Amino acid sequence: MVSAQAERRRPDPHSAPWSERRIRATSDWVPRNPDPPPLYRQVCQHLEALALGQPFDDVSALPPEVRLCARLGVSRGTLRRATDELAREGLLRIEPGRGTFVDKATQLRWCGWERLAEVARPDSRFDLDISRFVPDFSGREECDRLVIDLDAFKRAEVVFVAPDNSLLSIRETTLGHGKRMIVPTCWLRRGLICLDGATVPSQSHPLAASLDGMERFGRQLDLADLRALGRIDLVLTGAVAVTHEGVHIDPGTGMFALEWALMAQLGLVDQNTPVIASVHSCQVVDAVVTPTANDAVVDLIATPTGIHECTGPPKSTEVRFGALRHGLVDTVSYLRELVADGGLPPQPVRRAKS
Amino acid sequence: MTTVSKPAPNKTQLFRERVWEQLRKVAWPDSRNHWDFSSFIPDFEGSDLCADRVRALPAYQQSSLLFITPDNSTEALRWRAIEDGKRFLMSTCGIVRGIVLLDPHLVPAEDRRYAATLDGIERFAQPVSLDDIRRGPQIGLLVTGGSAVNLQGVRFGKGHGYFDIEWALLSEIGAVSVESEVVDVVHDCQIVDEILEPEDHDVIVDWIITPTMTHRVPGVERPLGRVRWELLEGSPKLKSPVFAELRNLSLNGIRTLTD
Repeated sequence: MVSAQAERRRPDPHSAPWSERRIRATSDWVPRNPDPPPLYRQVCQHLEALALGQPFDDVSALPPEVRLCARLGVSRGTLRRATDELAREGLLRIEPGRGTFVDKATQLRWCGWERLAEVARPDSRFDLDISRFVPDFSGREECDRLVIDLDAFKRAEVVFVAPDNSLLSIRETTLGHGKRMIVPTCWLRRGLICLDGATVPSQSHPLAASLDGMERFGRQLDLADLRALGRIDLVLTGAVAVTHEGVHIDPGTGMFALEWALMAQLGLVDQNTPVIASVHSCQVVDAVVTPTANDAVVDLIATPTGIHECTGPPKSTEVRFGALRHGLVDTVSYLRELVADGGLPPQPVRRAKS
Repeated sequence: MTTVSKPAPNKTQLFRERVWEQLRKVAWPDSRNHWDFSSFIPDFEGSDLCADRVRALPAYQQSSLLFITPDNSTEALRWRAIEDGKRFLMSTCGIVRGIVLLDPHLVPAEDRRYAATLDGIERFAQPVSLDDIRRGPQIGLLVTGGSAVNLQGVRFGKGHGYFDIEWALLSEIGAVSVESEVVDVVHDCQIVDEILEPEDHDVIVDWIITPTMTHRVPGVERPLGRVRWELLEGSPKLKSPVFAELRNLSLNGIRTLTD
């Protein structure tokens, strides 16, 4: 029996972890600043600020080179080096003869990170390096309550939940409600894990819901197991950003879009399967983005301030090879199996330009 | 035909890679870092037996405060320490967020196993400043994992030198002494035969514990560590709050070895 005192001491699982109460050293001493970055890096920073500061609905080109050179006081060579660098990173798109454009999805992603950094809670491994994971955020507890109240959640028997830190406690709740839950391992490296809330002992739900614990309680599904699931009733995900219309912006890995495509290919989900993104209000952006093969689409957005219904583009239900970053077919066993089964065409070979 | 000259691979890196190949057969992947042993130190078959061997050491039984590194291989020991009611300090991964304290009395019985994991400790531990640690009891036993170790007690971690820094920090504030004992928890396959010449900031361990043996390294005389500011210059590690705090302690007249 848990004594009343122990009960009081039990940390509220929905309260902010200690990591939010960080030590702030009173800084009489700060590490010596390294030398200033080279000129082209400084130009990169200016261009980045310029691109990120553009309104999301502005699809016009950046000012012409001559004007940018004059404004920044640099040569055309230096400007080009910076532009090329940002094009490599995906923020700018150089269209010869037309101009330099801001890639909207990347702009949304980078802006999403900037806003998220203000409210993010650190990861046990990656701290606040939020380009490597989708963080938990302050106010997330309210999102959880809204999602749990939805009929779609109450009715669902099999729920897909992305391995995002913001979904940790909803994974615990899903188990608590005795539902079956499908959770991908990070970057699908060890496939999808199935956890059954009815069989995992309830005192182990917090551990089983965590990324460190889930593989100890869950079963790794192979393709046949996945097909045997029949269907998935609800899909929950976090995001870096999401548009009003429901286009899901992820950390640039395309993993959620790939997971969705995989489930669709196996007939586990279709256009009618509800997809909910649980995010901070600052992650919802007013922008029109045409989803690429790397972007999934959601139906509902849960933020701490309410549930928003999206009107957006239809959800795609096929595996599009654009979604498969170089090498993913080799590292994700399901894709290898699907290709071997003939369920997917072999990966197209990129022809060298003649 | 062109010859591509590659820099000669670092000798210790070769040890690591040879050991990692063996370790892969008995280890478990990390929830985030998969099999990338350069990013984490994995848990392995028999780590629970190691934990029981650590618990049998007099230094474990006599210490009221332990230090345990945030390795997957020391999770089993963290679990037992919580069961035993032993308080322990742990650095956060990469010391990025400094050091935390886990007080087992704040962990409900059903959550002890969870609290031992790196994800769980986020929920149950408290951040502590160096000043808090300095005012607390001495650390009698420090437990770390590693990539490889020889029977003379020279160990290799992932190659970032975190444990050497942790020892230095704790030395500077007087939280450890020459009496404190250091244990390396490894799988048998992580023990290498080579005579390795330690560098002067390498922390030699007193005990090597594997699932099958408890080895006392003979004749260890480990000096206290010092933070080697000149080696840290320009390093991203300096962003950790502990370094600013250590400087401030010394600026404010609190005695540290840096003075």
